[in-house]
Amino acid sequence: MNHTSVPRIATWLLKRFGCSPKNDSLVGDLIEHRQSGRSRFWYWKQVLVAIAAGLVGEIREHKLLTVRAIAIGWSVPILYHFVFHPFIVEMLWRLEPWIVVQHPSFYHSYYHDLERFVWGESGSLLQFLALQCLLGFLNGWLVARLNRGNPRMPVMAYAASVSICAMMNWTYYLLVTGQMPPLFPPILFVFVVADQLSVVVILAGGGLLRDSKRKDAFRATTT
Amino acid sequence: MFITSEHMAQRNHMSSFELMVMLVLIRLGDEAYGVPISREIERTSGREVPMGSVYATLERLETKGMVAAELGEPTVERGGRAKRYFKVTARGLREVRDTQRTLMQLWKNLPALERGKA
Repeated sequence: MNHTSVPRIATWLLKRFGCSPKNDSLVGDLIEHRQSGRSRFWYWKQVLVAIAAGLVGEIREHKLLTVRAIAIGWSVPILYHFVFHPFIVEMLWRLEPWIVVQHPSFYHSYYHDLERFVWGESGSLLQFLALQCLLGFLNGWLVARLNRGNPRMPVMAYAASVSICAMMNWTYYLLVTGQMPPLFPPILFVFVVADQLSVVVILAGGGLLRDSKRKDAFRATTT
Repeated sequence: MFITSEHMAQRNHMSSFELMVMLVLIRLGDEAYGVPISREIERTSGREVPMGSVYATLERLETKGMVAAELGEPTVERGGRAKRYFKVTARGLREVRDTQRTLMQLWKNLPALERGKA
C-alpha cells in the first residue's frame, strides 16, 4: 500500500461542513483515491466540490428552511438599518464610531474618514473587528437556535449569503463606483478579512466548529 | 392534457447523470462503491467526475427508492472508514428499462442523427 499523506485540513472541513450523512464513506473513498496516486490539489478540489454539492442539495430539498434561516440571520442588521437610520446612527457616529461602521450606509457617508477611522484612533480597528465578530457569532447562534433540529444547513446557508453579499459589496466598490477615491490597500485588506472573519464566527456561533455530539450521532446512524 | 401532466408527475424521470450512475451500478454488481463507481464513469465518459456529485446523485436515487445502500467493514487503507456499497433495486431496474424504451423510441427515424450527418 502506498502511504501518501492525506490533507488533514481538507478532511476536517469535509467532516465538519459536508451536509451529507454519508460523509464518512466519502472521506474513505477520497483517501483511497489519494493512496492510489491522486494529487493533493485533486483531493482539495473534491472536498470543496463535495461541500458545495452537499449544501446545494440540502438547500434544494429545504427551500423554505433556507429562506427562513437567511431571513432570520439578516433580520437584525436590516431592522437596525431601517428602524434606527438616520437619527440614531448620526448620534452614535458622534459618540461611538465603531458601532456605525457595522452599518451599510457607513461606507457611503463616512467613506472619506475610513483611513482616519482605522489607523487614526487607538483601538478603533480592534473594536471594529470585535464588534464584527460579536454580531456574527450572535447571528449564527440565533439561526442555529431557531433551527435546533438540524442547524448545520441553515447556518451554512446564512454564512454563504453573508460571504456572497460581502464579495458583491467589494466588487461594487472596486469596479462600479468610479467617483470614489481608491481604498488604501491595507484598509481594503482589513475590511475584506473582517468580512470573511464574520463568516467564520457565524459558523462558530452556529456551533459548526465544535467537535460535538454530531460525530457521535453520525456514527450512530452509520452503524 | 391533465392526465398527461399527472402521469409525468408520478414518474421519476432520470437525468442523464443519474442514468449513467444507474448503468454503472448494474455493470459493477456487488463491487459498486464510491471509488469503482467514479472510475467507471471516468473511464466510459472520459471526464473527471467529482465524488461529491456522485454521492449527491446516489443519495437522490436512494431517496427515490431506485438504489439501496449497505455499509461494509472499515479498512485501514481508507483511514478506518467503511465502504458504502450501492445496488439497484427492483424499482430502479424498472425505471432504467422504461427510460431505455423511451430513449429507443425517441432515437428512431431521426435523419439528422444518421451516421455521417451529425
